[in-house]
Amino acid sequence: MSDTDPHSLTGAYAADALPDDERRAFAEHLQGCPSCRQEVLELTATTARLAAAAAEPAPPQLRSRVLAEIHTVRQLSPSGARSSERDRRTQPWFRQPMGVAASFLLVACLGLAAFALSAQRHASDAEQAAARIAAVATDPHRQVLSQQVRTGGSTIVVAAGGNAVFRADGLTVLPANRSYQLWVMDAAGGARSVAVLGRGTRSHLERFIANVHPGDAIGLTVEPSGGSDRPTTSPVVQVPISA
Amino acid sequence: MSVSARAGETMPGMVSLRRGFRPTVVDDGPPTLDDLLTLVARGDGPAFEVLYDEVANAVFGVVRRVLRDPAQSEEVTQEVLVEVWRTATRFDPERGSATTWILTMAHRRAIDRVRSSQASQDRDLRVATRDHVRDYDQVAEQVEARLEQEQVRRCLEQLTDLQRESITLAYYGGHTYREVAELLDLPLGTVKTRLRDGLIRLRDCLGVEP
Ligand SMILES: [Zn+2]
Repeated sequence: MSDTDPHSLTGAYAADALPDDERRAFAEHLQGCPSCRQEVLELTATTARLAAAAAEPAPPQLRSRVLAEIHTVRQLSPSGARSSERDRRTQPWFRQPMGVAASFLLVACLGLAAFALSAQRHASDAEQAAARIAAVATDPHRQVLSQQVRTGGSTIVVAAGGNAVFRADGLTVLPANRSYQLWVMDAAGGARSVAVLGRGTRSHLERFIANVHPGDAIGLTVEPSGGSDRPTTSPVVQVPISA
Repeated sequence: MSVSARAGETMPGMVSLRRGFRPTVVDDGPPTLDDLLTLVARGDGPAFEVLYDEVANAVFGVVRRVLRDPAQSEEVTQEVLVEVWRTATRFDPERGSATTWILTMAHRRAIDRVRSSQASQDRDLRVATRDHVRDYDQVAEQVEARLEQEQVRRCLEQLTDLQRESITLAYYGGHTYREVAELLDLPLGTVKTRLRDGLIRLRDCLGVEP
């Protein structure tokens, strides 16, 4: 019954579809097989997308229960047995020694961001933006256009009623002095900047785009980090909106 | 520099940091889930609240997809989120993003619950098949409204029927590949292969990077 090629189990492993004994055996195989390890990383990131696609509203009462519980739960120390066995080089950056000033700045910066994000969640303009996006995404006459990015990653554009929503996933991370920039390009060769989107370090990006018409194309270019007035490189992806 | 203010409108949850803070670590503006988890690992409660709001629906959704029962799903969701808090210090960004880490943990917990419960051993596989086929349609329907979900649905549609059924039964249905083989009346090797090549195709279609 059992057989053959242990390397073929990466998919079943990533889908949590191995019985416990085979799961343990494959986990051992992984220790000594870098190519399976790499594939498992990628396929696990893929199954996580399946998980995200199943999202549905969590019961509202759960939030306060979880938040109350964490006050009673002690966090593991970072220097567990497992991580002390590990080569220091492979430790995540945040566990490596860092200058006090740098670490303080990092915490201050992230803390501010968390606070801003928290505040934003309740702002009504955020709700309006969400409503505009939902209107496009649920429009019965919407066009859904999906395209791979030349340099890595994929995009999806949903267009309806003169507006569009752009989403990019898994973009290649650019060097520090470069940035992705999103454009609406018209048939006459003009380009209107929508946004400078950063280096692509986030797992995905979404943008609402107003005033998009048949014949326009949504394009993404690589620009100097501040963005450009007009595209200076040819688009890594260009999605035409049809009539 | 302020091109982004001109035309585009940000998604909820996308906040522009003030420029003075940008060059440090968060070069793309809002904190990523990885950033939040870093804060959580330092015991930051408010960061955990933000993280909760970002992931709770996905955690609950995938757990419920596998377990079905809302009360059990709520219980497991709570366990998972508390576990995120407890073990945040052990999160290793080299082995994937925070989202992947959390959702993998959620799915795994749901599977453990399925496998350990007596009920699962009595499950009538035939009934399960019918349910899961319907389940897939439901997933396909519910997802219409959201882009993330739309993208996943489109990519699932591009798989062969066998790939899609194998993945759906295993991942959303919580079946082992041996059970899937029985359900679909296929050799074990075929199911293993379909799970692998199906997920590889899904990975490429979604543009997933670990
Ligand atoms: Zn291998």
